[in-house]
Amino acid sequence: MAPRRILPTDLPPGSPLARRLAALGSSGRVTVEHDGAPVAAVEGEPLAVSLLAAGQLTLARSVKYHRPRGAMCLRGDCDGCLVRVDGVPNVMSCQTPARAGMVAQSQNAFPTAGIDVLRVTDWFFPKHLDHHHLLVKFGGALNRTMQVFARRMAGLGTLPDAIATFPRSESLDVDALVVGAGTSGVACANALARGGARVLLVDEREGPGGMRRDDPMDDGAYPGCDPAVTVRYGAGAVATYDDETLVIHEGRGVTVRARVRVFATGARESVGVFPQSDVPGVFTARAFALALCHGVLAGERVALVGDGLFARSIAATLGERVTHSPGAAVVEALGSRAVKGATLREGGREWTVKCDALVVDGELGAAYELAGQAGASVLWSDGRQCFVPESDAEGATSREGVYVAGSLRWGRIDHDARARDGAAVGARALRDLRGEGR
Amino acid sequence: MARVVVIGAGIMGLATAYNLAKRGVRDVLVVDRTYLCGGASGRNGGGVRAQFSSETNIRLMRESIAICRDFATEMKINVWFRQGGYLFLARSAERARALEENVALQNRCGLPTRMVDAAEMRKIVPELATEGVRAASFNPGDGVVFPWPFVWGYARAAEDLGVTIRPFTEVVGFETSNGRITGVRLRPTRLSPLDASDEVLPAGDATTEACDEVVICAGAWSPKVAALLGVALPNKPHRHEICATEPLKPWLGPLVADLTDGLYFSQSMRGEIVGGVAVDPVPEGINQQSSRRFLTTYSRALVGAVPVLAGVRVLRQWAGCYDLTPDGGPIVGRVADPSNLTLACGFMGHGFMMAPVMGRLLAEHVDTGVTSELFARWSLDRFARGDLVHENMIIG
Amino acid sequence: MTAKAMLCRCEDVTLDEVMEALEAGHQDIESVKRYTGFGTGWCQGKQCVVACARVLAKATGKAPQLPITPRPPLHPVALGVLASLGDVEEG
Repeated sequence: MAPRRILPTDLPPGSPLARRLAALGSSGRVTVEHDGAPVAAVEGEPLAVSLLAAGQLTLARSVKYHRPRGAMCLRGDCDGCLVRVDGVPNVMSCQTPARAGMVAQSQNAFPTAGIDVLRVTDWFFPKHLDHHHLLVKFGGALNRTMQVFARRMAGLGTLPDAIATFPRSESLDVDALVVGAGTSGVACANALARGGARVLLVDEREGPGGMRRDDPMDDGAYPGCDPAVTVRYGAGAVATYDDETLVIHEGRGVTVRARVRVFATGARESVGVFPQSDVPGVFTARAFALALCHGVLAGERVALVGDGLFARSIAATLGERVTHSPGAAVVEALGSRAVKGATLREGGREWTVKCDALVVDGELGAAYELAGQAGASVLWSDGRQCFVPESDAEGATSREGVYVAGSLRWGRIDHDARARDGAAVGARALRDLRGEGR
Repeated sequence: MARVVVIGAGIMGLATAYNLAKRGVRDVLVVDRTYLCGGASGRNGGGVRAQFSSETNIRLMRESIAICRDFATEMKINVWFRQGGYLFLARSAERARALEENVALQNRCGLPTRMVDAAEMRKIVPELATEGVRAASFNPGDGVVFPWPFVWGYARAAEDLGVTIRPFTEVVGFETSNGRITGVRLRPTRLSPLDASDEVLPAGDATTEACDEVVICAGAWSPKVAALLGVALPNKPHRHEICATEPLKPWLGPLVADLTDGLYFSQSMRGEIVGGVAVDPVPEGINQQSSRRFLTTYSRALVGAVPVLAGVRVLRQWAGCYDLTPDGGPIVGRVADPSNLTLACGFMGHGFMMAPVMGRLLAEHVDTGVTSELFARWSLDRFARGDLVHENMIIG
Repeated sequence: MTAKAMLCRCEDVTLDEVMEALEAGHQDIESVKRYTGFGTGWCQGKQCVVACARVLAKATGKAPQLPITPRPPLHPVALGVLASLGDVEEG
């Protein structure tokens, strides 16, 4: 069975997701094209979700072995959903709102990502291809021929069809820049603004809420921003330097000078590393949940592993439609072109399940990169088993004027704790702005 | 006890150590303050060219390119050497004339370099915007490599011949006697957690390694090391930033360079466009941080040269330090005092490509004491004598 | 069947390649990154840095203290957008 769209009537009445989907209504049905075939989409939903709803699991091919890939994180954190869109290569379709007439094509595959004859490399090197030593034993001519071929196989997309133009950039000057409009980011921005600071709050999503947006059990009542906060959505901070931060707001470059920077960039999910973990149909729980929030069920026979927030919400929403093994770990995924099943382990027991979607909630990291770019020291945490920006009790990092808040620094804590943390860090940053010292 | 201590495990040090061991020199120790590929050898764009303005450089690079061509099969590791050529653009009449003179000299040295007009430039790089480009020089024998496997290749081959390589080991002092170095003080290091600066911190106590010979080839760090001996070097570090784009299918044959603004870009074996541009001003001292100014300067220059790249995305940026001398020539060879110190630094941003041939020459120089015209020309004391060299094809 | 365990999806680096890099003497995370190429592809390490750190922790007994250096940009940014930005002021 394949992924499909669900209706509010497919869900228990009164379920938060049923309400959300009913509110979505029948907003803008459009048609997009994928590898020449028409695909029904909802205007504005992520193109990757449209393709998933149409049963298109395999979207891309990997660089070396041409292994099939598909959406995995739906957050712009992986390579699974890369397609060529309207003549532009390497577009993350999970970050691209579907629009009428959009044309998507698979790349780096012959003839298409669905069936790619170049996967022969994957079969030919079952263990792995050691590119460092490939054909060095033979004469120079053979080695040089190999290099010519390797170069042709490399790369993902081809050059854009047209010369792109971009809107004028903007330059802003504020007291405080807060990156991330999740629970802690909003609380932080509010504390700063109420203290009189000029605050810019940015988030790459279309609205506030952060991880709450992807939770099908969430009631959607995200706390709002204080009117004194300048907030921009669709605005992702991509680079931060000593003197300024670069935000891309709906394709426009915005350079922001700020006296203090607060990173409330949250956690990062991954499915983990096991044989065939990269096969299409393996999703993080958050990705599967995000698709659900768009009314798309990414599989009919769903194997759900893990006990985190998103796994619990998925299980509560879909009940018996998923096989939930909260305490299990994945030994391997089965299926060469798309997931067919998985071997799971719990305690001493191992067993195999059949599935067309393997959903994993368990591998959590912190989205530390921007704080690290800003010069905060980022260290391994044995407790959280990931890298975390070092911070004191009030969210101050090793770098003056740089703060961290929320699940970035604490891992998964509840909404109230995140709100309190954001407010506390905001208060601390405010004292910094007032020159009240560290 | 090491007979020769080589300070700097970049390609220059490792090529020298490898060649010393090949010559039968026992007990060679190579030390480096950080991990292999941590310095310029791991940060450069992989360009390898023979188009220079001085006969010395041209002839040396012909030999180096020949070594690069055979490196994979000799050292048993792929380096992805691709001879797609270098295309040097000239936007003024003056620069075009300088290029023509250089081409003539290169032809006399046996290179097939030729001047090309706008039509031929567009045949070589169809996507190139040639308005404003008066002329260009093209040598199809120039090329690009993937730098890191050179370092690993030399390191593995050197270790197989008995060389000891100790990364995360910095030089904190020397012991001298009667105008000779008798020992090198070494201390273990670790990466600093304090920011993304790639700095190192002490991680243990210093020990002394007795030695007969010392070679300093520590790139931008050379003056700091030499100062511990009271040897004053005129080199200055100069930050150069660089970035890589998303990987695309192969479309760009040569490395394209513009000496006016220091723009250079090429397509790596993985399909990324790797390139940089001159940025002014740069911070004092050794600085390997990235800046937004670089991204803006580079992108304007690159999109100006190849307009279709406007829609192509930068994936990451980083930086390294050129090691610059006052006259554009390196500082190579033994010094007067201490008498057992050999220098190999100041390579002006093209040390990587010269290291294969320099490694051979330095090993001979250190092993036998034989000095050639090259070492006389590039000696440290030339600055005091006012006997400066000239090279005008420095990128950036 | 090619049941590879992909540690780095973007560069197709398998788990056993990381183990081989360790055996070949690349013991710190920066050296493993350079030798295998993990973390240098499309996602620039978002998916694989922690996974690699856990592998190193298990193999060497100690997790790396630092991640690979986080470098700008966090997500790929078009050259045209960068070219449109204003000049950087001094200081």
